[in-house]
Amino acid sequence: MLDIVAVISQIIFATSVLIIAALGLGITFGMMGVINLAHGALITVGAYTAFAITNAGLSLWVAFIIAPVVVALVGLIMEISVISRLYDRPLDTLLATWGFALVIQEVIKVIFGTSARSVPNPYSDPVVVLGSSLPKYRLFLTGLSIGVILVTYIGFQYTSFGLRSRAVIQDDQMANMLGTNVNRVYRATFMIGAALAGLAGAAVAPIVGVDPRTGIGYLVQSFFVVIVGGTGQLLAGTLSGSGLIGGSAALLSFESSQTFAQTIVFVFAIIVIRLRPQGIFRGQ
Amino acid sequence: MVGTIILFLLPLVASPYLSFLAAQYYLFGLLGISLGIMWGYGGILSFGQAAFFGLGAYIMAWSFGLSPLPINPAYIALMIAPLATGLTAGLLGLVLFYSDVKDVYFVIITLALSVILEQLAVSASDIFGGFNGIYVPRMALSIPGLFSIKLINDRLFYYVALLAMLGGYVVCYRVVNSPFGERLIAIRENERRTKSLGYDTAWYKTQAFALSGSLAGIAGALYATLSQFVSPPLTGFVLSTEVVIWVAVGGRTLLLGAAVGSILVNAASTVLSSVIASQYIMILGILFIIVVVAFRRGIVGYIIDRYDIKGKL
Amino acid sequence: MSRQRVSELNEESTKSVSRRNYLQIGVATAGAFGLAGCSGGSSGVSGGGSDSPVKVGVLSPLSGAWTVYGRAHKRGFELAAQEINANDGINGRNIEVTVEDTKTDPKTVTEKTQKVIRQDNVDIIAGTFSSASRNAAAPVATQEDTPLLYPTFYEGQDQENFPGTCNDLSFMFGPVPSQQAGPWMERMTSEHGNKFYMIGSDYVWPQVTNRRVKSSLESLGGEVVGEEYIPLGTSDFGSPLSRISNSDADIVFGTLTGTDTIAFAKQFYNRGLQNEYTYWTVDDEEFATDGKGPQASEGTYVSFDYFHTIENEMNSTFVQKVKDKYGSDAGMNTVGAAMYNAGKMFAKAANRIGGVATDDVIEGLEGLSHTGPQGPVKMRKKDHQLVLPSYLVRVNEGWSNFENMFEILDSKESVTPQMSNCDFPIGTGQ
Repeated sequence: MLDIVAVISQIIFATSVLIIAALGLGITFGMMGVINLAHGALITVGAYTAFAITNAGLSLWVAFIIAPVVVALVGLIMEISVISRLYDRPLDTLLATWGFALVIQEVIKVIFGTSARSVPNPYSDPVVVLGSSLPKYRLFLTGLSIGVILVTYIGFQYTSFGLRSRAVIQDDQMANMLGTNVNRVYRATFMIGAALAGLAGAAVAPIVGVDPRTGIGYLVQSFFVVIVGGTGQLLAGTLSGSGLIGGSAALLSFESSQTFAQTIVFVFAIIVIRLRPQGIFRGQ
Repeated sequence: MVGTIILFLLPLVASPYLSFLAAQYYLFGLLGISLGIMWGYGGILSFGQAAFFGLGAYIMAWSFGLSPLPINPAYIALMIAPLATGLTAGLLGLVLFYSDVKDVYFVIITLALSVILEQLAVSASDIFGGFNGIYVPRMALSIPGLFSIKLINDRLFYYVALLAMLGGYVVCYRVVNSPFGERLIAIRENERRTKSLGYDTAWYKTQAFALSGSLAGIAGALYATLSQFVSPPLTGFVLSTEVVIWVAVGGRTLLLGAAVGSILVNAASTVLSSVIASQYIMILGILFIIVVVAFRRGIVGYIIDRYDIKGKL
Repeated sequence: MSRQRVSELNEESTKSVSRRNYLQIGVATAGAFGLAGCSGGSSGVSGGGSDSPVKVGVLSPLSGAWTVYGRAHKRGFELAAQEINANDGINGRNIEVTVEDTKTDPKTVTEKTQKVIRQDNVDIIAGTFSSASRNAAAPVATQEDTPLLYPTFYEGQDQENFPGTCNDLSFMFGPVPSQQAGPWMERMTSEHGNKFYMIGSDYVWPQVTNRRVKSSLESLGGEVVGEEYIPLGTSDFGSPLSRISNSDADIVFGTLTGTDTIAFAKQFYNRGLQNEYTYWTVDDEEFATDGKGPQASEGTYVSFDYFHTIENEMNSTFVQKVKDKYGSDAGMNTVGAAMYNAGKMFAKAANRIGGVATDDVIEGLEGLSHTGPQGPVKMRKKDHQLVLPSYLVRVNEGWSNFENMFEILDSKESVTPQMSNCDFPIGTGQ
């Protein structure tokens, strides 16, 4: 007996979490070709920041502002020290980011210890929609994912920074000749990707818990979203990728065991890549 | 040659415990070589070698589970494992390389393969024994009708593992120095040009991947009977990423680097994890980053470059 | 680069490589041996003499996925060792504990087990946490004839898992499902209803536990209205939760583990389901509950053989000692208490028999009675399973520390577990 509202809401909820988690990765990968295997670790840092803040008595909403900033700084450190030297070596970038993932995870353990931590949920009662009760925090996350997409869109379309970065992506040599500081654009873009990861970490912390391995699960899923969605159109790609991966996972899990559903989704993603190696929205 | 003799004489002076450790390291060395041949010479990075290693281990476990058999179950496993893992790798290679999948996508897909296989091994517990794993007895070296020695003595197993690793090394060495190997290197250097010269680059890559898969499978099968326990983490993402680190640190463009790197990192891990558990991983992570940025030929490559004038690859 | 050049370069480098080739492997490996051989552990005197220590190898998950349980695990044994040494040790000898981190990785378990037995020459092994790690250590322990004291709540013994279970060298100090859930089926069903929705992680322990609970439930006239297994590492429980909320279950019976149970509890709370269903888990001890936070854990029912908040004289002393040694925030759980019992019972057995040889340890432990922090315990002779008390607790509203986390609702002083499915005899019944 499928409850239609449950199915649809689950698809939307799963998709929105993936959008928030994967957008940061989509930006660094789509716009810079950088495979950031530290993305999961950065999400974890965001979650721990949220913990530190709520543990100090401040509200979760404060964490939503501070976590992105903190993680952007971590991204800055990564970029300045290592990543900026490796832009012409994509596989090496991938490896270096993995090294960072290991280091970041260990640093977290040193600072916070290894026990699981808790970030409280700001809402307590569900909302009743069309006869089904839906969790308020999930509805909030859905709104957040839409907001994040809008802000990113406006940022890249209408700000001068956005203009410059689109120029750099299209043709960085030309952009350089025309006076844009390409390195600075890359740096800023990497930091934005990191900031979004931080936001994702803070966003999922209340419903997933905070421990050193919080972000790992989102790492592989985010990559599949980005690969399936393609890197041509950042937002459309992330949206479609999230929708496909999240949606199919949600649908399947109503029909079969969770394990089976997850396996099928991965296989499905591989098939999509096989058929359209550039993803749904092809890159230039 | 001197070195080989040292290796063969070691068990005579080392304790059974050290022989066990060494045997373990050699099998990891073989696993490292399996990545090295693909990555160093083909330029293809696989983040899923553990999938083949683990599969080989499970094949060994299943082989013993089917006993009693007329033939030594370990022999059956050692024949089937490389075939099965090689075939799997080959099939995956056919699907992916022929669609011109980008290198970086290949990394993600092989990573996902490890993740899926581990999850499958945990849930399909009837087949894979699930989370709690499968017990594997020590294999026996036997010639039917003549003798059968169970390799309970770790010193004996040391030789088996050493031979396996050296065997794998020799095979790869031959491959690398053959015309096939040259073309593989050419693909690594510039695939488009090699293709335009008329070579079916996807087929070369697939074959390299298949070879890599079967070597990993053999290593896994032997590891299963050495450690006597097979469980899902042997196929998982953590081990897959560890292999990449071993090979990178040792030197990815050299077979020797892959082998030595695997042995060294594991030996260091054995020592240091007893002493400075968590900091060790941090140090390894930092070392890994440094190696990736600055020492592309890894530790072995660095030593070769410093003490040897010739040898530029 | 023409093909000619490529092969030339290949040849040059490989030739030069081959010259140094084997020598390098040889040197590296010899060096590696040297390092590994000198690693950690004590090369102290083995056996003999009354002033040589009794050595115990403790294998704990101090890093990796199960780290959250590792600290209490290790501390339980360390505390026992400390107390034993303060009381004349074992037959006048001190206990020396070597702790190794299993990293929640079976490869490492095998390696460390080899190390503590063969390099550190321990007399017994205490620990491993998951059944998987116990099963990885078992072949080594069996080969070297070393007893293994296993503390964790687990699915019970089955001959097909030998040498992990049904092994005369192993002693099980943690409860099996019939000791954890079994005793409380009647009370829970009569108080909350007899329709169960079972949700567990996708591996053996939840599966076996659910099987036992199901048969117990059905014999009470109850019904399982849903049974789901979730892959480890899942973070989104949306669809199982939808199914639960669409079912007519009374009790949600949880055997989710690790961090999955935390995510599930938070999302369960997120949907307000704690107002509609009773949530009963046999997996969420002190540290997992701590990870859930007060909001998501409130009102959950938990049953184990031991809780930090048990109020009897022995436990109060025990908990106080833990705090004195490890800080006022330190907590204890079933696994830590089991390790403590293992240490104390081992000493008791060895002192009684007069030696720590393997046969002595086995003979001494079989049938041994003892009083642990949770109450009276007895090592069943036939299958080496500890007979334990069982407690039913509920998580308090707004708890803030381990002291006020749980409210003890009920207890049974002794619960005899189902007989193990082993080929008997094991142990000295030879």
